[in-house]
Order: sequence, then C-alpha cells, then structure tokens
Amino acid sequence: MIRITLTLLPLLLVPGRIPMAAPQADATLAAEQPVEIDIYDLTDIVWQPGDPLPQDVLDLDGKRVVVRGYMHQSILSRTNEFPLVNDACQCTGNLMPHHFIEVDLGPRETDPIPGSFEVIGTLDIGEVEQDGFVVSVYRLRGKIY
Amino acid sequence: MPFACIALAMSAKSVVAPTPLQVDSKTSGAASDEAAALEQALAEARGMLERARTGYPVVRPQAAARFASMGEVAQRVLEEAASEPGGLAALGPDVLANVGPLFSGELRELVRSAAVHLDFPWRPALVTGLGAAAEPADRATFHAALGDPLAAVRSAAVAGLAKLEPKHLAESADLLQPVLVDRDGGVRLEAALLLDSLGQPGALATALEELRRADTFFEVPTGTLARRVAARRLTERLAGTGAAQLFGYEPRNLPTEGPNVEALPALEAFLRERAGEAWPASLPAHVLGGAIRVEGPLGLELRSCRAGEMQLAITAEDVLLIGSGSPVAIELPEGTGADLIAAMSELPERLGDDVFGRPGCDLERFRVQLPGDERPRNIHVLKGAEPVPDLRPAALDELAAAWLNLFPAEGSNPEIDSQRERLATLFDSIGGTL
Repeated sequence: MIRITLTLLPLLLVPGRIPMAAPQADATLAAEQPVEIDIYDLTDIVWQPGDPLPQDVLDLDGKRVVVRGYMHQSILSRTNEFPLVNDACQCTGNLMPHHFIEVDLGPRETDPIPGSFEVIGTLDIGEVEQDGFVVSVYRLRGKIY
Repeated sequence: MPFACIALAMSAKSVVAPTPLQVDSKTSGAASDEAAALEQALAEARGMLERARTGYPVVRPQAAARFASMGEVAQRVLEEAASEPGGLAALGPDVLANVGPLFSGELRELVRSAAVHLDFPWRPALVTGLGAAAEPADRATFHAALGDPLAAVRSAAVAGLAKLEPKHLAESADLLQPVLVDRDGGVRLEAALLLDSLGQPGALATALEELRRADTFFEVPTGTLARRVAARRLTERLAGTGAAQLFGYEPRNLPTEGPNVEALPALEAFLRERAGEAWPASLPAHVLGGAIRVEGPLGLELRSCRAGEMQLAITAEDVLLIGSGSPVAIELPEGTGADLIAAMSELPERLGDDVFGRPGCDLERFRVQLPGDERPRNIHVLKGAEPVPDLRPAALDELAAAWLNLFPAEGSNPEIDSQRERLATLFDSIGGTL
C-alpha cells in the first residue's frame, strides 16, 4: 500500500545554482575564452523598438559568449538559423525583438531541438529592421555547444 | 460546439458592405475619392492584420500593435475577421494580446465569453488584450478568470483588474485574498501588488517572498526567474518611496549572496513599517521563498494552452514532488522510482525516437535517467492548439499511466485528488486519453 504524507518540503534544502557569470574585463582573455551569459540578462530588459539598450547589455556586443536557451517553437524543420528564447513553451505569444537571440549556425544545420541547449559564438547587438519592423536586437553567429 | 469554431455573428451590412467612414462630401467626385481612400485604408489594415496573424513571429506583435493604432478602420477589419470561420481563435495570440482597444460592442461580448471558455486556446492573450483596455463591465470576466487552470490567465486577470480605478474594485479585494495564496508565485505577486494599491500594504509580504526564492526545477532556475520579475515589479510599485531601489537588491544574486544579504532585511523592515498592523503574522508555507531543487531520476513537465501546466519529479529518495517553488511532496513506498526505471529499461528501443509530434503550445516532457545514462533523456510529445489523434506512442502511454498510478485512489485526500485529476486532464488534453 502506498504511504502518502502530504507535506511541504523543509525550506533551504540545497542552495540554488545560478548559471551566470559577469562579462570578462580583460579583452584579450575575452577573445580566447567565451563568457557564460544568462539569456535573461538580455531578454528580461524593459525595452520597446527605438529605446536605447542598457549599457550592461551593450557591453556584451562583439563578445564571444556561451548562452543556454530554447529553440523557438516556430522552427519546424532543419535549419541553420533560429530564434533562441528563454522559455520552453512560449504559450503566451508576443515574441518581441529583445526576447530572443537570432542564432546563425553558418553552414551547419540542425533539426528542431526540444529542451534547453547551449550555443557558443560571437554576439552582435543592435536593432536590425526589415520592412519597417525591428526583426532582431541580439544575433549570435556560432555553433551549438 | 468547440469555442474555437464560434465566430462573431456580424450582420451582412456591417461585414460585407460597411458604411463608409467619415464620408460627408457633397460632391460625387470627392465622395469617390474618399471611398477609394477608405478602400485603401481597409486594404492596408487587412494586410497589417495578416502580418500580425501569420508573419514572422517577431513581426507579429509589432504588426498587431500597428494594426490596433489604425483605429476605426482596424476595428471594422477586426470584426470582419472575427466573423469568419475560425472566429477569434483564428486571429491567434499575437493579435488578441495587442488589439484590446478595438474590442467593442458585440466583439467585446464575444471576447468576454471566450476569455472564460476553457476550450478557447488563447486565453492568456485574450485576457491580456481585454485587460489592456479594461472597462468596469469586464470585472465579472476577470473575476471568473481568477479561477482559470492557466497561471498566465490568472495573472492577466489580476493585471486587468489593476487597470480599473479602485472605486470599481470594492468586490475584487475580497476575491483577491485566495489569489494571494495561489500555487503560482507570479499570480501571487500580481495579487499582492494590486491589493497594496487598494490599501492593503500587508499584501507585499507575499511579494517580498518572491525575492527570497532560490528554487530550481531540473535545469530551469525557477527561483531566479521569480526574483527577476518580482524585483522589477516591486521597483515599479515602490517608485517614489524610500525603497525605490529595493535597498540595492540584485535579483541575479541568490538571496543569501552579495548585496541581498543586507537588502532583504532592510526592505522587509521598510515594508513592515509601511504596513503597520496590516503586516501578516505568518504566511502559508508554500508562499515562503525557499531553495528547493526539484531533481531526480524521473521528471515530468506538462504544458497545455487550454488545460494548464504541471511539473512533477520523483526524487532518488522516492518522494513525488508536484510543482516548483515550494512543491507538494508525497512520500512513495521505498523503491518506487527504481521499480519504475526498471520497468522502462527498454523504453528507448521501443520508442525509437525522442520526439513525437510538432512543436506548438502543448508539451509533455518525460525525463528518464536509465542506468548507464550519463544524463537524463528528454522525451517529448508536442502539438499545437488543435487535437492530434494517437499522438503519444503506446510505450509512452505506459509511462504516463505509471505516473498517474503513483497517486492513491480517489478519496484519500482532497489536495491529492485534485492533483491527480489535473494530471489526468493534462494527459488527455495533450497526448490523448490513456
């Protein structure tokens, strides 16, 4: 017979782990070693098209980074470009330009990937417009890590 | 009839032969010019709506906002679209979340009805849209939406109420009390902020706890995400007070690290003094911020755009955890997890693949770490808003049934009965009936 005890776990069982590292100050080191960034540092800003980006975000422009995220659900077939987002489900719609990193794998292609994964590459930051709409703010050219 | 098929029953006059807008010229030439201008405006609005419905995902919300700014012409086009087969659902979430100011008359009635219809797939977007231009007459809809199985709908309902003037919210304050102890931290946060604005500053004790979260669900840093949202919303709420910068609180740091060590007690002292006797003597255990890491050899994550979401795990110590943050814990007989893993030893060979279906807003993610696996396997069942027959393969049906059978028979405990029912509903809604 199954023994059931409805309870709440005691708090503070194990400390949480935060996958976040500050940008490297040393430019030489940054060129050699990718900086691990938290995708939320990019996607969680309060921003509208036309607004200036926060300085701590702009500081990552041109940096070699590793970032973990999810492939956007709009990707249904093999591709070498996809939006990397911070959430597995994206149920509520409204993908704004700062809510994702446009990943360019170059000649490499990938199938749609469910679940989170890491991408390594060089980050390019700034608004890109097409046909009057901002289509990206963050771009990452690299490979799946 | 599924709500997704219900369309706005517009009259032929308003849809097929719209009355010209602002045509008051006395000359036929000028009238002709204005008619042509109207046709052009309608065509532009239809084009923008189409981009908002089917364009590149990042363009959709921008196009929807631009469409909404087109005013009366857009309203006419929206009503026209809502009366077509597929109705509101065919407009999609990006449109519905951004065109709230255009909901009027019959269309607004339809929106209110759809917002509380559990078969409507885009309820979070719809309630968000309704809330963006909330009217006092929307209160009943928001109140009903507070009981929605989707946390995103409940949050949007609170946000919609927050758009109304306090004089319209006398009844809402009582209805928000149970929301203050919602199972979802984001919903609790929104309720706390609204109650504070309604003269109940003690409610911010609940918001403060979101800043103390350090929990995780497998690789998802749920506590960090909660801290980020709570810090942003509390900063907005406390603007102009002595705690505008939250005493240096930094959501990227753990509550026990860096500036947060001093910021959290300082913020609590400030909020306590601000609330006076309204500060609660205690809070329910599941509201308190903690650092529980939900992990183990077996995990399950279910998300349905209609039926809600649920997260479960079986720990190495045979505890069934339900939810993240402060999960409900059910002790299982020793060896339950090992037995389940042993029963699933041939699962990879039987399945032959890890992904079934196509990505959409519905997801079943089974996490299984079999002996010899370096890391857990993630097996996905995926679909959009529409039903997909026979989506979940038979071998996964067995695993799903095994998860369901972890729960005791109905009648042992109302909370557990409720969780079992939620799980069964989600399995039915996504991969299909077991």
